Amino acid sequence: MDIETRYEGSALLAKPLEKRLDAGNAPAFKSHMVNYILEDHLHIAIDLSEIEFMDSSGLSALLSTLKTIGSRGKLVLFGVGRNVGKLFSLTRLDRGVFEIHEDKHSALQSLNKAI
Amino acid sequence: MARASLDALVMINAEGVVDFWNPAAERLFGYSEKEAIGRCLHTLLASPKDQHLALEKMPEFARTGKGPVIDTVHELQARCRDGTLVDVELSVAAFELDGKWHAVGVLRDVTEKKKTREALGDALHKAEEASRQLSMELASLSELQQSVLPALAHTSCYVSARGLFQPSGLAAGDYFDYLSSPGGGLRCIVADASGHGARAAFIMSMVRTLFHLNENRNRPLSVMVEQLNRQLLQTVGKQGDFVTLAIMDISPEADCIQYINAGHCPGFFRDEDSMTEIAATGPLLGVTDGDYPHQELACSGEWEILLYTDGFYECRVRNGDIFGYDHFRELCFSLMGRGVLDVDRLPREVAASAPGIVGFEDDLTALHVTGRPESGAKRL
Repeated sequence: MDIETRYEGSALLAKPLEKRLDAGNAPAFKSHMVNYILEDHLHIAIDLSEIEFMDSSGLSALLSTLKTIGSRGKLVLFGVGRNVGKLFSLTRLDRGVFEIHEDKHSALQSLNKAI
Repeated sequence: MARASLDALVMINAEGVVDFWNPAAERLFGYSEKEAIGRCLHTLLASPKDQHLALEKMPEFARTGKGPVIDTVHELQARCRDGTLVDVELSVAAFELDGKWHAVGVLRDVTEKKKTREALGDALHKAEEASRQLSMELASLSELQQSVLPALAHTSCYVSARGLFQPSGLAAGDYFDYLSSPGGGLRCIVADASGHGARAAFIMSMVRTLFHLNENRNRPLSVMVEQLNRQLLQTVGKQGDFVTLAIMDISPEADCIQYINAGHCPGFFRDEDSMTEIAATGPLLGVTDGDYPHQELACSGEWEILLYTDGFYECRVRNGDIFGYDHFRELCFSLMGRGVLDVDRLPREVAASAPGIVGFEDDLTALHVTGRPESGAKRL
């Protein structure tokens, strides 16, 4: 799975370059994210703007990332499209579980406050 | 050129006597050119089992230039000077010179190639065997999983329920169930574990265990759901696995339906006045600790509820899009509005409503519950 990464100060920006985050690529995505965390990147913003569809496996990979970071750092999401946003709202993960931001600027601001 | 060849080149006459032997043949078989030329090739190189047949066919070759190995490529074992047998690939062509037939053979050592091929064949066999065993395990799991789901529709004076379970693979993370409760009521559930296959099926078995636990039968829904949430947090909570569910207590005596929707796709409720989505009342299970209070729907007329899993609307259509929740809701509202919703036909209805549907990739589960005229419903 292709993930574009770059650094903004101490924060890692990760952008999966796929249209779907589902059972087919969620394990690879999860594995990449765990590697970043093991490399001590504990403040991560995931840009989901390329993702048009996400299923429960994709959601599970994001939750796994969130739980692996735990209280040691912070995970924020931005670039959430209509379909993916619907999944977050149906599952109520947009209410106190995932921190979802309108744009990169807002996501980074939130991360920088936590660093 | 023949002398420079990396492959062994050997030429024999119509009697099978060697009249050309290149340096590569020397290296492969250990006989020098001087030792080989003038000797019968088959006596020199053929393995004991091939020697008799080869000598037997030589008169025919001398007459016609034809024989079982002419114009073919095949593998055999040849005997070296030191008596060892070497695996070689042999290609043979015949030609006529001065009215007499000759044959030229190209021989290549394929010992390593053969070993690799045998190792690959062995690995393939082992992989096939492992796959067969895994398929058997999954089939057994699937059989068990289907056997614990309600086999018959539920019918009482007040309420009827009918489920559909169509796994995408051999084992599934979907679940539906119902249990009769005192007074003609019903407790019913539709749940979906994240992911697919055996892992999801294993997680789902935890849901079923708690749903059927005797102690839980008379407990409020919130107690059972919170208990399940804690169990999931303890067991799979760190790994990102989760369960969504919609669970309901239908109690005709109290003329109400209590329900909890833990991050599950909205159920659809129809009564004589309206059509409503039963949205999530709390987050999915296995992620955060918290309370899951129930909500209520009042019943006072004819009503029906459809609970289902997301496989119905996450199916892919031809242009790469998904069918989508909005289309699915529109379809179900239409079927319920006309009073023609048949849960067994729901996958076909979805497929028929979007001509470009490629196929269902996820498990499909649905539960259709209808209330008799004595009960009815309207939203509190």
